[in-house]
Amino acid sequence: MKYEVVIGLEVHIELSTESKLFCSCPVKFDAAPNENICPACAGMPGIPPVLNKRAVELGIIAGLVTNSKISSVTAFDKKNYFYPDLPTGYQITQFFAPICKDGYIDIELSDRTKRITLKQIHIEEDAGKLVHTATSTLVDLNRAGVPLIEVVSNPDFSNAEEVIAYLEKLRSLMTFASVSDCKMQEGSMRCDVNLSVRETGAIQLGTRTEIKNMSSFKSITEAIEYESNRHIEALETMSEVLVQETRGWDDDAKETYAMREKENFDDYRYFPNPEIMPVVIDSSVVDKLKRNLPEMAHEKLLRLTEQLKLPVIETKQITASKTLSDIFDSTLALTGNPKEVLNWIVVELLSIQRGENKSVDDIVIDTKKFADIIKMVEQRTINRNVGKKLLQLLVEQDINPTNYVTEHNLIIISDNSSVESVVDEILNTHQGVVSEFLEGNQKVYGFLVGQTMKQLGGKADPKVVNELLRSKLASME
Amino acid sequence: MNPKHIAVDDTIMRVNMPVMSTTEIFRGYLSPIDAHVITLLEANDYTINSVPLSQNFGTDLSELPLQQVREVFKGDISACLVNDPFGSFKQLATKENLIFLQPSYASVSRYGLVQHVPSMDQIGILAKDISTAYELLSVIQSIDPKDGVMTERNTVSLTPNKLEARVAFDASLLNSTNDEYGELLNSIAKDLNAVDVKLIYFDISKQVMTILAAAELSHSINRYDGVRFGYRSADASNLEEIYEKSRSESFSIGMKLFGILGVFVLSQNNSKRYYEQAMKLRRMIKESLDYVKYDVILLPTEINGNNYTNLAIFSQAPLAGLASLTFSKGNCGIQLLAKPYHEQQLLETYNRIISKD
Ligand SMILES: [Zn+2]
Repeated sequence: MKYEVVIGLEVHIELSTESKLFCSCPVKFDAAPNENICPACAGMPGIPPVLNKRAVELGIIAGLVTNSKISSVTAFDKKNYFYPDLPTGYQITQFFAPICKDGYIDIELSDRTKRITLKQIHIEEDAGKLVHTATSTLVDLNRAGVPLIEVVSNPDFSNAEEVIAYLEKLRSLMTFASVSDCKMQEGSMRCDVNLSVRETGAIQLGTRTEIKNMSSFKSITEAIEYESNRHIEALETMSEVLVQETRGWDDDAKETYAMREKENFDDYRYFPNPEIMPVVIDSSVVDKLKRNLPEMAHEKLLRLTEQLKLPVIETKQITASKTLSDIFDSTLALTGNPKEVLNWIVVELLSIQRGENKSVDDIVIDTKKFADIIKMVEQRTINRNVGKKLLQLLVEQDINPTNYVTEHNLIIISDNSSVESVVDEILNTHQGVVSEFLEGNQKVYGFLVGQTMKQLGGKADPKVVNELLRSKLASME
Repeated sequence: MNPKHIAVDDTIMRVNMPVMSTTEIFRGYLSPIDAHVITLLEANDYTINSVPLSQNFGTDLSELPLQQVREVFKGDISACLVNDPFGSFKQLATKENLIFLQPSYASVSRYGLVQHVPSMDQIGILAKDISTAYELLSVIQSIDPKDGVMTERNTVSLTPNKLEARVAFDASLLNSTNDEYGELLNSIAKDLNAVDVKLIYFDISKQVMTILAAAELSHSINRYDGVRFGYRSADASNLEEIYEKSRSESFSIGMKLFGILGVFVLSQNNSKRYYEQAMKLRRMIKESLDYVKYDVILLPTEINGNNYTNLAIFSQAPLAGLASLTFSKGNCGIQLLAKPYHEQQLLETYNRIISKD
């Protein structure tokens, strides 16, 4: 028997607003527990919700970049479930009139492009967070009331590769449109996977299970594989009866597990929230947001490679991340040399980031200072190696490169006669190496360069050192 | 009586003062904020007493808070602000020779008012006389961005109407009322040249009211769990028991009934049959009011029977978001309804009724 897997996704994306969805508490990731709360988002009585207009705008933008229909009237509803992380006992969400409907996203697979259709996008408030300790469970409400969108796809996926390609595309669209920073490790992009398996060609869907709250590509891939196999095995061997249920992912055991019955809320008792007026979305507002949409990653890639003639592979590394893309833009604006900036980011900055084991999106850099380094190298005030060291110090300690160069006397040694005397000295001290070279061992050449540069404090122009060494060695032959 | 000395029900919150203090689940809870109306009143030099009028979210319909009302008006208090979705205080107004002015829905900020039935919650004015009531109305009716349902449109002109309001009256409602009261009301209608109307959804409105109020109340009281504030059972040994026992011990019968009914009418299997039907009927009630033919509706304040049948009379205004004025002339209880933001037509009609001998 052949089987096919059918997957649908619900992706929660935290909106990049300054404040929460219904109160003025700030939205910050690393605040102390319950630092960003007020009587409203802590669920105290007597405080009506006041809708954050920016969240609605970002919801519209999310719809625009996913080719969705924007509703002319959208409204908010109460969704009842009783859980300690939900201070009012209901979540404010959009059930009857979501802000966007019927969108689609085209995803790039290794061999083709596939269109994933979206059922809807709606805005809702996040819940708080439970912190379990050995003896108790604590509630942190900082996240309660933070605005989210939920992007609900139709069951258009067949495997994990498609799911990951979709999530990457979705993240690119949302970050480039500044709807969200989509930092999965901070929980600002999370995903519920709905999965079922049926015989290939069958019309009816199989029993569906939902894997909740996935927040890394790796575990999503593993969970989809595990769950698909579990379903197929159940169908083939009757080893277990599949039931429609919510499951969690155990990242240590690498398996899904049925969640406690209490977490399987099924009767949400939705009804329109009378405390929030329906929002009428004027087409002129939509048009304005559309006109002001920033450049999306794929558009940017096209522009950089076609107009600026930048190499595709390296440019893709930049456009894969909104953070790098922003660093590229602002550094380029200050230096005016796209090839150099691209090179500095892709070769130097990314190698520093890999060395520090950071996510690309966590790179923080003062692009003005970054531009200063690139310019000093270009103008031969310092050599490239000094530039790399400065970049490392800039990323780690936020030094001021211009001052640092003066203070540490790193300006390039442009006086050729002093370089020449050092070259002579090195050739003299290492006569054994010199004769090895003259006998045809090219490998030792690098040693001589290194010794010369070292003697010069790394500040010489490598080109000048090279020329002098080469010509002197040649004259010895 | 001192017109600047007023009371507010303690469901209207004041900083560091108890909230809904006679309701067990609120035990020990002090408000972190001042309600918007409190700020407005203080800015207008009112002296304010907080009083416990509303109890158990107004759900114990079988017993009117008569003693509490009498207590409030014993001294020189001229008026009291209170949220009255179920009409208990309007009924009492007619019995105690007071006036109840209910402003149009969402024309007074609910910031700082404990949520009961949010689609009908509205701070109203229970006053000793009409001028105090309208004076207070002019103070508290003010746009507040902290109440998201208020919009710029919700401003009321209080310039007295020069034109006489056209009054409508449904005499068929009096069929079950005692003869004497019926005659009084009929003669008032006649004096006002009232046109005949038939309020076709009147009989179903108490059911509509009950279903919608229960649905919303069940959500409003969901946040009271014994964990973060208020009453907590002394003999709960785990989280489950805190929820269960704190609520069992502190919720009144009325709160429990409304809570359970609300869960029932909103549940997946029943929502279409009850909640959605009630919403549809609410819309029909609103749309059946024909303000092309009249401006003000004259209604009785009791129809032969109990408090539950009276709920029909007092649910018209909250269901349709109307402004209403409830008072008595002699022994005759009178209720007037006007379309939203037409409180001045109520005043004009009131003056005509009272000045007539
Ligand atoms: Zn807040």
